[in-house]
Amino acid sequence: MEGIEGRLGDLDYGGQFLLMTCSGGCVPAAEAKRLPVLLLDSGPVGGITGTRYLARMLGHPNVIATDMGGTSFDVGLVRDFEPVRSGDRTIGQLKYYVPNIDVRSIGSGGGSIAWVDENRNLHVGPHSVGADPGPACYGRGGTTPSVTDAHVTLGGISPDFFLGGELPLDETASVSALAGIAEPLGMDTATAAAGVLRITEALMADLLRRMTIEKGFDPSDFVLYSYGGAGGLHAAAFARELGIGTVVVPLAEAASVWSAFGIAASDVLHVYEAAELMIAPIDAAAVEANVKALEQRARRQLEAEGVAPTDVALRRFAAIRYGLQVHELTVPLAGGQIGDREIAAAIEAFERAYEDRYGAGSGYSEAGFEFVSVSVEATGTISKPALATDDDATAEPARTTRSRRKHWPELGGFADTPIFRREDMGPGRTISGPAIVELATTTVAVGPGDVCRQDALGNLVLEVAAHGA
Amino acid sequence: MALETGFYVPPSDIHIDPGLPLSSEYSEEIDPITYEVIRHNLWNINEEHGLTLANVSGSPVAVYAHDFNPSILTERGEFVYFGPYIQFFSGMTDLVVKWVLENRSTNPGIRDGDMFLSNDPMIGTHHQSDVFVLCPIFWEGELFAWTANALHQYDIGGNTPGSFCVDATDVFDEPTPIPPIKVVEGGELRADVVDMYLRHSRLPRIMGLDLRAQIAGNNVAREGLCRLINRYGPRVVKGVMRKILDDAESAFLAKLDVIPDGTWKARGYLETAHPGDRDVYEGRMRVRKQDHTLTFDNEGSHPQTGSLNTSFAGWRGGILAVLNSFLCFDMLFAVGGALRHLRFEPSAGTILSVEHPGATSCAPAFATQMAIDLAHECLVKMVSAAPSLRAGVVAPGGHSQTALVTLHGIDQRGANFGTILTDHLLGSVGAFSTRDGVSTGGLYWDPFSVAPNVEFNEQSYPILTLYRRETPDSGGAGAHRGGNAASMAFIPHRTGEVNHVLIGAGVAVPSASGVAGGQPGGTSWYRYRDGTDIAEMLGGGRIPASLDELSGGDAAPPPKTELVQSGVDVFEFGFTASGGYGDPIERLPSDVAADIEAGSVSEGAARAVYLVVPGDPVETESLRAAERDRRLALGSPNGAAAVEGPALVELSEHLAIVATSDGGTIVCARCRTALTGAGDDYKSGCIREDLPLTSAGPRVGKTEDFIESPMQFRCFYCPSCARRLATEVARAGDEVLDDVRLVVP
Repeated sequence: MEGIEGRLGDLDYGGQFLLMTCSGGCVPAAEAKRLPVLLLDSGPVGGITGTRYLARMLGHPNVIATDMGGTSFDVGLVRDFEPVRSGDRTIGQLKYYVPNIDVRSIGSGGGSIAWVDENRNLHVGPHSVGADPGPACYGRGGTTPSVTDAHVTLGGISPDFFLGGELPLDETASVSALAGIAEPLGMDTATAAAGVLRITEALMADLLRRMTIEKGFDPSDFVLYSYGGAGGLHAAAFARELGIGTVVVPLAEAASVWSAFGIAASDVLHVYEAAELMIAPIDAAAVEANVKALEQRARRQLEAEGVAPTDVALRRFAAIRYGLQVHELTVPLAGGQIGDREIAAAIEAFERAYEDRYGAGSGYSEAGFEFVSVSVEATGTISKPALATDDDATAEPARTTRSRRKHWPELGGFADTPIFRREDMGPGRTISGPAIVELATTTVAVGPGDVCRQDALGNLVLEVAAHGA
Repeated sequence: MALETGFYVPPSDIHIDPGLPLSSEYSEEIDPITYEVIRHNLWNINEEHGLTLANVSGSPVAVYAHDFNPSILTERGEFVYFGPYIQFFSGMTDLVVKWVLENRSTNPGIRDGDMFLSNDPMIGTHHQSDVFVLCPIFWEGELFAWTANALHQYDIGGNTPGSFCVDATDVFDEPTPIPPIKVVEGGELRADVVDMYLRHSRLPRIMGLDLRAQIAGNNVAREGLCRLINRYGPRVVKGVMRKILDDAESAFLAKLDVIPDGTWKARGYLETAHPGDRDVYEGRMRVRKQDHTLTFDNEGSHPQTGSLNTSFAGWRGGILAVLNSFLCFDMLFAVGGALRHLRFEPSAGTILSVEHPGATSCAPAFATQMAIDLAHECLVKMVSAAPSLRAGVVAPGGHSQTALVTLHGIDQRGANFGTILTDHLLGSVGAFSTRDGVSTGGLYWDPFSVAPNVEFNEQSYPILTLYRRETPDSGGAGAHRGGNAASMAFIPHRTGEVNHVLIGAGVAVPSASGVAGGQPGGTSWYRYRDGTDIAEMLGGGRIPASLDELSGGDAAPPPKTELVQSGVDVFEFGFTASGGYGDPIERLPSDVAADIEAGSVSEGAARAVYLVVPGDPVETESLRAAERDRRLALGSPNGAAAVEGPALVELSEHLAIVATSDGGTIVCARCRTALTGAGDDYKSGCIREDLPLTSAGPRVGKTEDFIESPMQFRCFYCPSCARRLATEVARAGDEVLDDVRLVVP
């Protein structure tokens, strides 16, 4: 950090040097040096803050945000326009307690290895070919079949337009790598490759389902955002598995660097917490004293960091649980004076949220209520990237003359498939599947029955047909 | 009927009323892609079952300790998937399902929309607190499968709040067991049964919530399975279930194929059958492998006594908990495949297979845990004989027998409180054959359990923690060191006093044995210092790092007792650590130096146990050479001679059988010195040394404080190269454990 600060000084940089944290906002470098633990795993959190930013513009209250790159698949949730948070994180056997935006990661991506076990069962992952040698099609000597190789074999990824054509791919190498698993399975290469993709998508759907159910949500109440270079080819398929009707590939080309965009769209954020367990009847004056003390600290810190008082926004929360129960939920606390009425309102909000998450009748008010902690989120608003809006009133279909053979399980095999590139698209234009949208940094599969539309902001929005439709 | 004949052991062919139609047809032609997709769907349905249960319950027992487990079974009660939570339920759930099939299919009948509840230790649980709810799943009028879960209840009655009745003499001092009863009938909760059930508990509302959670979990699993059947058809889904079992079976058999046939034994001792008792009680386990069958028995175990016992289901569960982790780890806990090749021969009326009306409410703290420890020791010895599996050998640990603390009194807010502290979940992972164990590495047979934060304890209960830390020197010494366990100390805070009920085990006798000459893990302990100057010390801004820094009188409370702690009294307790692997004097001096640097091993123990003088290789080697000479000078039982020739079979990394004219000779693998004939106990060819138990490790407590029987730490050395080949903890006078016998190929 000091190296960067020095270099910024040399360049006469007049702005502030901010770093992203896992709590969903930025902090000045001095604060990051004081609390470096906040920086751990903050990159993927950027994807979620970007998602929240966009979700508010698009009016999507509930979003499952997925980031699929070469080696990992990261998932976070936005519920009622707010990122779903967690109070702790784990590294190895160590658990640490910081307010953070909950992002889960599994080792699954374009590099996941397809393999056949001794009982002739086909598996995908959890091992990855990594970046070097990478998938067989990279031509760096790898011969192990990966998910990316399955896409190349099936025409999902064009060998001559990967990274906009910067990395020519060896299709033959993909096919022969896949042949290595097709043979023991007694299948042709395309069927085996399609199997690899179906398994990959089923595993991802299972993970998303488990994550949402674990939080007490139903995945079909969500819109799915898909970013990261490898996401667009799979998103509609696993959305369909989960009963999700809408998929958004945010800002099309920017989807591959979405987390970076999210970081740029973040405000300065500090979270202050006072953990003092209080058991109902709650002493409103004590809650107020705790909150006021936190707010005072917040104002002082933001002021010291040069944020103008008019740019400061403070929000209060209480973490509440039932007695003898462990699920605590964080609900907003009213501003201004806190009295018995405000406490009662917070408890009521907690009971509503509890039933919403864990089902009607799962509350246990007989055991009483416990205020586990109160917190203050202090935001210092900073400038954000403005998203240009185009007129998307046209409902014209996009047109293309390009096509190639691509395998579609829904159609039972290969079909000549139109390929759309940047120059074929435009605001408001629609594409009916089967089709491929091939951009420099990402490829989006539009399945048979699905419709893809470019909206006014440049997002690709897929309406996904239901299973069996 | 099982209620009249002691505990239930299912026959190989269970009897089901022919009036109950079973859906058994399946497809054998499932493409590998559909198979893989449905296989994962089934696993996830089971996971969703568990998550739903934990969500609706919201109890710390479910959410933190993960003291539950969901499963999916076939129509006849074979496991398809068992969840990744507490593993011992995998030895119990199928028993209850089979019992219900045999005993409830005629009257009152098993029908679509029914669920059954049971917590009878004579049928399929180890203690009454672990309640099972089973759900038959029908498709088009035929019984297609079962889902089931177990969940530990806060309080289900008995003479002690929390239902661990440590002074029980029989089951009539404990919660009344409930044999399987229909709690949901045709989709309707039966109010009469629910009222009967909830009347058992001091906390009926919370038990009611847990019951709803168990039902909700089963409902989610039933919906998921029906969704799957609807999409793929019953024959395909059943075909996948069968193939999961068949594949798991063949993966299990592939492991058995590389293990030579033989017999392996373990022995352990439980202390103190009830408060005031000063005796120890022997538990035994033997596993015999013949071709593709493993047969377990517990012959020679002590007759059932006091509150120490577990049921047949608990003993079987303890075995499965270990077996799943050692031999089924690569098949998503599809334990049904392995179960086809396991035989159980319980000795009825012992602490490891209690008969009615023996007490079992404390089973998980005592005899179920002993079953885990003994099964671990047996299976480690068995797996050690397979060179290709040996890298997976790990010495016993987890928390083994340990020091549990329950507290009650008036809390910092003036309300009644009662709890069992769960810091023991910090656990300790034993030494591997290839590397050290993991300090406070948790419980391998309850992989998702988490220990509470110190702050959580302090926020919830009127206590102030002075320290919670790893206990140096507690992990069993060895060439590879066992992981250290934790210990902690606290004082009452913002209350007058707190009342303790100590449910301790592993205090007097180590329970996590060493492997291949390693030392056992340190014992657990309670320590109490009354009338201290802690208030003055804290007032002066100093936190003590040890009880020794405080004034006052010291006491070591016995394993099972009650005490009252006032504000000036400091209470310390430590948990059982895990075993070491191999001879400690073969540990690399650089590793010992790193241990000292990390604070894992004290300088004193480095010198006394590992014979290492940091930074002085010459002195280290001289100490170690002197120790080898000392061992050899203890005398050789036979004329030690080397035998050349290739090994026919290996007993372990350190022992092999070499072909000789008399049918084979067991040799030390390093120096090839003959120990005994292949048909004899190899220990009889070793130099034996009987040491006091405190020699088993710097953190092994003083047995004589708590029990009358003198205990020994026995070491067995190679008569030529002096390597320590084996260790055992035994009651003086008990025979040497003849623990490994291989069939020479």
